[in-house]
Amino acid sequence: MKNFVVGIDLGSRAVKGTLIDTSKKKLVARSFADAGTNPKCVAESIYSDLLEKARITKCDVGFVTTTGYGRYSPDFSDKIATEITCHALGVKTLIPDVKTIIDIGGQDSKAIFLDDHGQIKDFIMNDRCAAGTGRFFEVVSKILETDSHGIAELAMKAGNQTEISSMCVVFAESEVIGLLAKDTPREDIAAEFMLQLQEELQV
Amino acid sequence: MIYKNFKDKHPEKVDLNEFSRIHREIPDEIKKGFTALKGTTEEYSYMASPACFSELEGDTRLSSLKFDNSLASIRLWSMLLSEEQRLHKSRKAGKRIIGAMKDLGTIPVIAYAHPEIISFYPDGAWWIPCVMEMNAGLLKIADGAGLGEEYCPARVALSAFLNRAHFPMPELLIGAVGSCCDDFSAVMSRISRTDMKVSWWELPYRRETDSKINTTELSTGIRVENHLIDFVEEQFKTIIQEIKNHLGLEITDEMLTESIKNANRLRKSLANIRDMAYGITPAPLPSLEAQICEMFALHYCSDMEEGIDVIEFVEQMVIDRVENNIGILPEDNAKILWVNPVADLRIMNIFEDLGGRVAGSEYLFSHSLTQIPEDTHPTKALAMIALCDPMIGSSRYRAKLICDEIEKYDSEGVLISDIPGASHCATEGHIIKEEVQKRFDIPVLNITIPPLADSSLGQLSTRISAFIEIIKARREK
Repeated sequence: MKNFVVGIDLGSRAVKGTLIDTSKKKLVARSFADAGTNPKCVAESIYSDLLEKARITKCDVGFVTTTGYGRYSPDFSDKIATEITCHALGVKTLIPDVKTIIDIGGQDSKAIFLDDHGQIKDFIMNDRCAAGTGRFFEVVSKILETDSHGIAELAMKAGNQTEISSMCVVFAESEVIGLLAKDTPREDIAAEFMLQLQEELQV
Repeated sequence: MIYKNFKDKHPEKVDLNEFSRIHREIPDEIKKGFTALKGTTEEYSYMASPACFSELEGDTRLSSLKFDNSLASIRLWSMLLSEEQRLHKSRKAGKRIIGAMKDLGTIPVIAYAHPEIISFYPDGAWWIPCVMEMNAGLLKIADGAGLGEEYCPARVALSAFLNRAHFPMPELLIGAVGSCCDDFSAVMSRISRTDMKVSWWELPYRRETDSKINTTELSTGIRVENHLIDFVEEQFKTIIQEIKNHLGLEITDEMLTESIKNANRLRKSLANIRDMAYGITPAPLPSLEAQICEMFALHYCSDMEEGIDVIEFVEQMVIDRVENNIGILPEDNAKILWVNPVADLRIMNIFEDLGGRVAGSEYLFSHSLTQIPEDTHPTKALAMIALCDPMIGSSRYRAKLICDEIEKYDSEGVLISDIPGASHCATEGHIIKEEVQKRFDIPVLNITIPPLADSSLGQLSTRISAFIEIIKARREK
C-alpha cells in the first residue's frame, strides 16, 4: 500500500518538504534547506531526506505535490499547485475556523480570504516591492545579528519606542544601521520593525 | 481548412521557428494572391514581406510568442506586422493618409469612405513596444519629451512623431478630445506642437438617462438625450468639411453609407469570430489571435478591402474548426473575460498555458465591434456609435458591458489587466469588480501588464495560476 504522500514547497528563499502517513493521518517527516541556485536539485535532496527520515522508499509514496515559486522544476510531481491553493487547503483541513491567511513569503507576501466553506474567496499579493516580505525580515534580522525567530524574541524585550520611517528594504537597512550607530537598543529597533511590518501587511 | 491545395496542420500553438517553417511551406501562388493596395501601382503581397518573418525576427518579441499554426493566422500576423510598410507604400501609390487619434473606430469609417484616403491610428504605435524587444528607445524619447511613466504606453505615439522612423507622417491628424483619455489628450497636445496639421473634434461625456422624452436608445441599450447625438453629428460634419478643405477630397453621404456597410461587414465577421472563439468549447482560436482580429475593427490594418478579407478568412478557418469539433486549447481551461488590451503579448500565451481561455473581452473599443445603424443618416449613425464608446462615460457603464459579456459567454471569472500609467485603470478596476460581483458570483483578478520587470513574471504567473485554480475549485463545489 502506498500510504505516504509528499508535499514540497520550492520557495524563492527556502525549499520545505513534508511527508505524511495517510493511514495514520500523521506528519512523519519534514525537511528544510536553502533554495540556493538550483531549487530542482534541492527539492530532490529534500525528497530523499524525507524518505530517509521515514525509512521508506519512493515505492511507498502514492502522491507528490509541489508548490511555490519553483513548483514546475521537479519532474516527480503528480500535482502542481500554487501556494495560495495549498495554504487554503491546509487551513481548511487543519483549522477550518480561520478565514484569513497571511503568508510572508521570501519574495512576496499574500493575504488569502476564505469563505465559509473554506474555498478561496479572494487573494492579494504584493508585486513590485520587497517591503513586508520574508527577504526584508532576513535583511533586518541579519543587521540585528539574529534570525527570523530571534527578532521576535528581541522585540518582546523592547523598552522604548523608536522610529523606522521607510519600509523600503534598501532605505530601511541604512536606517537600522544608523539607529545602531546611535546606540539605539536592538530590542527597540526589532519592536519598531515588527510594528512597521504589521502596518505593511494590514489589509 | 484547405485553401487551394494547402492544408492546415492539426491546430496547435507553435513557436516562431515552426511558424516561419510553415510560412515557407506555403506555395508562392498562395502568398502572391494575398495582396494589399489592390488596383494601385503599389499592389504587393504582404505575405512575402521579409519584414514579417525575417528582418524583424532578431529584434522583436515575436521569438518569445506562440502562434496559431493555420494559414489564416499566418495571413493575419503578416498583415499586422507589415502595416508600416503598407503605409509607406500607400503614400507612394498616391493615397492621402489621415491619422486618427483617440476615437477608436469612427473616424476611419469616414476616411475610408473616399477611395483616395486611408486612415490609421498613430495611437497604435503603442503596440510597437509590444513586438519590439528594443522598446526602451521609443519610451526614452517620450520620457525626454516630458511624458514619463506617469503616462500610459500610448505616449510612444509622440516618440514616433518625433523620430519619424516608423509610419509616414499623415497629411492630416484628426484627434478626439473632451471626455476620452486624458493621457492621450496630453500626447495629442504635444504632437500638435510639431508641424502636423491637427483637426480637433469634441467627444462629449456621455450622460445616460432613463427618460424617453427627446432621447434615443443606442445600440448597447443605453439612452442619451438627442442633443448629444446632434452635437456629435455636427462634429463629424465639421470633420468631413475639414477633410475637404485640407485634402481637397469630398466625402458624400452616399460614400459614407457605403463605408458604413463595409464596416458592418467586418464587424459582422468579427462578431461571428468572437462568438466562436469565446463561446464554443473546445476553443477554436487562441486568445492572442482573437485579440488581434478585434483590433482590425479599428482601421482595417490600413487597408479596408484586404483587412476585411483577412478577417473573413480567419472566420472561415474558425468555422471549419468548429464544424469539425477541433479546438486549440484543452476543454477544461477556465473561461475568463479579459478587460483592457494586453501590452505584453507573452501574457496571453502564459495565461493559456496556465489553463485559461478568453471567454469575452472588453478591450476599450467595444463600440467598434457594434453594428452601425444603416437605417438612419450616416453621420447621425456614426454619432450614435461614437457615443457608445466605453471610455467616455461612467465606469459603471463599462462594467455593464462586461456583465453583458459574462452572461453571453458564461465566463467563470474576470481578469482586469491594468495598463501602467493609464489613469482610468487607477479607479475603474474596483468599480468593475464591485459591479460584476453584484450580479455574478465569480472571482475577479486585477493584474498589471506589462509587469515592471521580467523578474515579476513569476509572481504574475502565480497570480494567474491561483486565479485559475480558484475557478476550477469552484466547479467542483
